Amino acid sequence: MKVVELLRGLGSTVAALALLVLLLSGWGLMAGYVPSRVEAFDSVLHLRVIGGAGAFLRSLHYHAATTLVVAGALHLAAAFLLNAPHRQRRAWWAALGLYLLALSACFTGYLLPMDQNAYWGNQVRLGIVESIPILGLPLADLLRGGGALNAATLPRYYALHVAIQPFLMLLPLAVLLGALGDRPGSREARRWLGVAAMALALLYLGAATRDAPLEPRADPGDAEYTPRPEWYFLWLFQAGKYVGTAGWIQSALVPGILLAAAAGLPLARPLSPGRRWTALAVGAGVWAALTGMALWQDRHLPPRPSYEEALAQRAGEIYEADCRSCHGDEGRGDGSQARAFGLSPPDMTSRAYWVEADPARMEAAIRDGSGADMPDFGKKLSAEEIRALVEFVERFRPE
Amino acid sequence: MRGWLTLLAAAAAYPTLRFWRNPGAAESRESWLDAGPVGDLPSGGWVGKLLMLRLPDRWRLDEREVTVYLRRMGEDVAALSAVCTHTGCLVRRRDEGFSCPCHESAFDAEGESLAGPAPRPLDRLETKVERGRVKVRHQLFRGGIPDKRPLAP
Repeated sequence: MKVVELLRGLGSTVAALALLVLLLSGWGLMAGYVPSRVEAFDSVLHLRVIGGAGAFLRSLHYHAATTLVVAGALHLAAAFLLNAPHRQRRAWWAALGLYLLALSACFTGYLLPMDQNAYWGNQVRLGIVESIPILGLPLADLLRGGGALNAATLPRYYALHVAIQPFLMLLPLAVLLGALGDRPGSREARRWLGVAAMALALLYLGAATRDAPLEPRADPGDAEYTPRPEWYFLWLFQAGKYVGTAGWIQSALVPGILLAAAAGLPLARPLSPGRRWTALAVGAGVWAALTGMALWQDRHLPPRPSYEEALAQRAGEIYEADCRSCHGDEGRGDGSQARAFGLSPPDMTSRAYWVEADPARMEAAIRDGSGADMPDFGKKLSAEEIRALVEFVERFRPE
Repeated sequence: MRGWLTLLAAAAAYPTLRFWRNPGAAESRESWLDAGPVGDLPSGGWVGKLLMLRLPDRWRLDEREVTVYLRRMGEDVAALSAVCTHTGCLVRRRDEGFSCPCHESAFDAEGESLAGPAPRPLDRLETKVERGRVKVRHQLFRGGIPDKRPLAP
């Protein structure tokens, strides 16, 4: 029991710290994010492009969210084992409500970057919401502000994510602080403060070394994209493969029943410690089995490229299709077309070429054409693609 | 006292709730998407097409590409929405029919459900031919239910 008590303390301390970090880093992100369908992705990309403070802030928010989901689950599991539903009934309900609010904030926050993962993940989740009988469609319409993703959708998600959901968390938080509050200044409280400081250090380390993922810009017409939920929801996704037609049965009914059971625990007869351990072990076992199965069945799925990787790959394809015939395989300016028509593109493997070259001028040359022979690609390629091409030909630069 | 406070809060929240319920509907407008000349469609099997959608979307014009599958039999053109009837991912061609990458629903060459959790066949879209060009009516349908019901625009 001592260990379980320690785990509960660890869960609640780390979850509280993650919540604080989420709130504060969220204030930073709000100053850099534009909740508009047209600009959302670019504003998030900008955080990444400027690196440093921007990228760190976003990564911190991302890792803190995952930490909250994990630590919250740890706290709830340990509290369950310690019979909290009966011993501290109000705190149990508050913790459950807070956890639910945190998950719902994940739901809204997930769409905000408007990359492929965000768009398609939201598409699937709302599709599931839609299929819930009676309540589903009005709820989905309320979230979207219409029958499909539209100009009003992102502002709604944003309002929920940055104001409404955090505000609603105040209620369960107040209950929890009242119930769990160690006397400030006690030795135990100071020990947990140390744990929180360590957790913060780890979060900083994580944010500094592992960027929050960003996939290519959302493409609503892309039939080649394969969406998958976050790893902690893979079990529901996997369960959906077995329960046939309506997605809401696994994605809304199953979690709904689990939640109702958890919320109803304080009202039922207390379970014996043995039963509690069994229930938790069974739950964890099912979770692990379903998650493992989902991962196993997806093992052949190619890893999803980041925004930068996808763009670099696209640049390679453009070079292959539009540039290689003159500029040659190695950028020497010896492509078949160049030879056939007696053109002489520059040799990009020579030092002389790179003395004069600078990115802005190269971009202009691709966009507007250059001299008599280099056509203008400004109409065919986006500014983003042109910038990526300039980065691509860097590979020809001699050491 | 508590009851009065709740009532007061509810009254103060009412304008916001009203706006959330009705933010001004997106203008509904017929949207027939152009799919190019009939003659450009190969006869026989389904081909995937990206069609340009331009719809007024509140304060802006929404321009994006929509994936549909088209099949020409002589002069008749049929269209299938690529949106899976389960949770709304886009289906891809597989063998003669279609498959969804999300929950592994499979459909045959007529769009009928073969396997997996999809509750109904792929949704047919209305088509017409105007001055030799194929037009497809853009519509979205509610996912996850056995009957085909259009969503509000």
